[in-house]
Amino acid sequence: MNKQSRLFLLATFALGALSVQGCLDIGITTHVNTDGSILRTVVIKGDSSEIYGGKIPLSLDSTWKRTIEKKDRKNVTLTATRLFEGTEEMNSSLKGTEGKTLGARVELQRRFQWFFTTFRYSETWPNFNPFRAIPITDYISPAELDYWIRHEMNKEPYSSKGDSLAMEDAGKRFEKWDDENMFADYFDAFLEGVRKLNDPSLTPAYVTGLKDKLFEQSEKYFRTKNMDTLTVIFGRVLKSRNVKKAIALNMEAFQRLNEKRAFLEEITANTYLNNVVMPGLITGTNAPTLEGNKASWKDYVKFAYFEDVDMWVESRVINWWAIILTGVVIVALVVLFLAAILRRRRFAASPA
Amino acid sequence: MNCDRYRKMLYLYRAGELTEREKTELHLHLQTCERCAAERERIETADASVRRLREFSPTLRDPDRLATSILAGIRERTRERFVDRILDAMLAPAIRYAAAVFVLAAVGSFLFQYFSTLDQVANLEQRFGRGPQGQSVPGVVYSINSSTLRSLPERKELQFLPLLKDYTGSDDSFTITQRKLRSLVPFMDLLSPMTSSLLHTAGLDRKQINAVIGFLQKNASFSFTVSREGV
Repeated sequence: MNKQSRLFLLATFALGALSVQGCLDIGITTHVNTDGSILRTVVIKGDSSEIYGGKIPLSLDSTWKRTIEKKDRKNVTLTATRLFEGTEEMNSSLKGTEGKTLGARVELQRRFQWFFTTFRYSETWPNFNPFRAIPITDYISPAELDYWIRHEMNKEPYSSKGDSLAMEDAGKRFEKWDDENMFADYFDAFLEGVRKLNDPSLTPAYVTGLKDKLFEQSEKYFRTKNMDTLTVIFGRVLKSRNVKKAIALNMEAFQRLNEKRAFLEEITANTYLNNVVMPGLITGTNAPTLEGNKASWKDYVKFAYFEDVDMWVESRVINWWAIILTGVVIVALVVLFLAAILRRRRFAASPA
Repeated sequence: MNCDRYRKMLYLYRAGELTEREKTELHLHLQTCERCAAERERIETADASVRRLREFSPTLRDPDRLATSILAGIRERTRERFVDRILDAMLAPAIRYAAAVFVLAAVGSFLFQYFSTLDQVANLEQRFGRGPQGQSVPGVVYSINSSTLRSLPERKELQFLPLLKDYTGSDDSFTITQRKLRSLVPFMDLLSPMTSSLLHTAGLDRKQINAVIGFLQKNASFSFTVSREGV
C-alpha cells in the first residue's frame, strides 16, 4: 500500500472493504447558467438490485426527471435531471437525510463588475460520518488534514521526505482515531446495558476502568459487526458471564450503531465524480481536474468521512454589451471634443 | 376770425353735431368763402381715402405653409443653439476633467479586470502544469558541493539536507531551489505536529533548520535558471 495514500484508503475503504456488496458509480454534473439557474444531472451506474433496491445514497425524489437504461442485470444506469431556479430550491432538494442519504449545500455568488460578471459556485458536503464521539482534530491537526487532502486531490507533492514520513505518522494517528471514535459509541451502548443490568460484579465503574483494555483487545474485531465476537472478547476482558445480558439489554442501541456502520459501508463503497460546468472562463478552483469550463472532483465526497468538504469553482463572463456601450460613450466624448475644438478655431479664424 | 369758426364747424359737421341753424349758416358761408370751401373739399377727400382703406381686407395665398415655415425656422434656430451650448460646455474645464476621469476610469477598470483574470488563469494553468507554450518561469537554484560542506563548522546540521525531497545531485553536490527553501519556514510554522515528526526524524530542532537555511543563503553559490515548468 502506498504510504501516502494510507490515510485516504483508510478513510474510504476501511469499512467498505469489509462489505461484500457491490458499488455504485455516481456521476454528478452541475451546469451553472448565467441567469443563476442550475441544471443538475445525476448518473448512477450499478447493479440492478442496487439501483432498484433503494441503495442510492442521494435523495432523488419525484421532482427529478428520472430515466433508467438497463443493458443487463449488472449494468443498469439511472439518470436523474432537475433544473433549479436558484440555490434556495436546490438546497432544499439536496439537504439529504442524516444516516440515509448524503446531503449537500450549494452557494452561487454572482458579482457584476460592469465589463465582467464573476460567478463563484461552491458545493459543501457535510461530514456524513454518524460516529462523532471523538473529533479527528484530537489526533490530526487541521493543517495536516488540509495538507494531506491537497496532496491527494491536487497531486501536490510533499515538500520533503520528512513530510512523507510525517504523513505516514499522521496516517497511523488517523487509524487510531477511526477505531477509537467508533469504539466510543459501542462502549457507551455497552455501558448503558451494564447500568440496566445492575449487576454488582459488573459495575459501570469497573467497566469504565477497563475501557482501554477493552479497546485494545476488540479493535480488530468489533468492526466485523459480529456481536458474538465482541461479546466473547468483552467477557474475557471483564471476566464476566453477564456481558451478553448487558448487550441484550441495550440491543436497540447496538442495532442503531450497526445501521450507522451499514450506511457508512454503502457510502464509502461507491465511487463519486462531481463535475461543475461554469459559464465563461474558469479563473479559480480547488478541483484537481479541469477540462475547458468543467471542473471535476473524483471521490472528493469521501473526505466528508471526517470533515465537511468544500468544492468551489470561480469563473468570469464577459459582458459584451457593457464593453460596447462604454466604447460608444468614449467615442462620442472624443467626437464632441474634436467638434468643440474645431468650432472654436473656426470662430477664432473668422473676421469679427 | 370768422373763417376759423367755420373751419371748426366743418369738422363738427362731419360728425353730425351741428344744429339745423348752424348747418344753414355754414352752407351760406361756404358759398361765399373759397378758402373754407377748399378746406371742406380736403376734408371730404381724406374721409373718402380712409373709407377706402377701411374697406380693404388682405388675404394669404397659403396660410398653412406660412405657419409651417415659421415654426421650422424657430426649430432650426433653437437646435443650433442647443448644439452650440453642448459644444461650448464640452470645453468647460469641469466637463473636460470629468470626461477625462471617466475615460481613464473606464479603460483602467477594464484593463485591471482583464489582467487580473489573465493572472488568475495563469496561476491556474501553472497549478495544473500546463502553462502556455513557451512560457518560462524564472527561479533561483542554490548549489553547494561536498567539500564546501565538509569544511564548514555547521556540517552536522547540514545532514538534514538530504531529507529534503527537492534535492538533486550526488555525494559531491547538493541543490535546492529558492522556492523550496522559502517554503520551509512557513511550512514548519503551519504544520507543527508534522514539524515535530520531521524534526524528530531528522534529529534536529527548529534552530538548526533555520541555521541550514541561513547557511545556504550565505555560502551556497546560486544560479538563475529559467524553465518552462518552473524550478
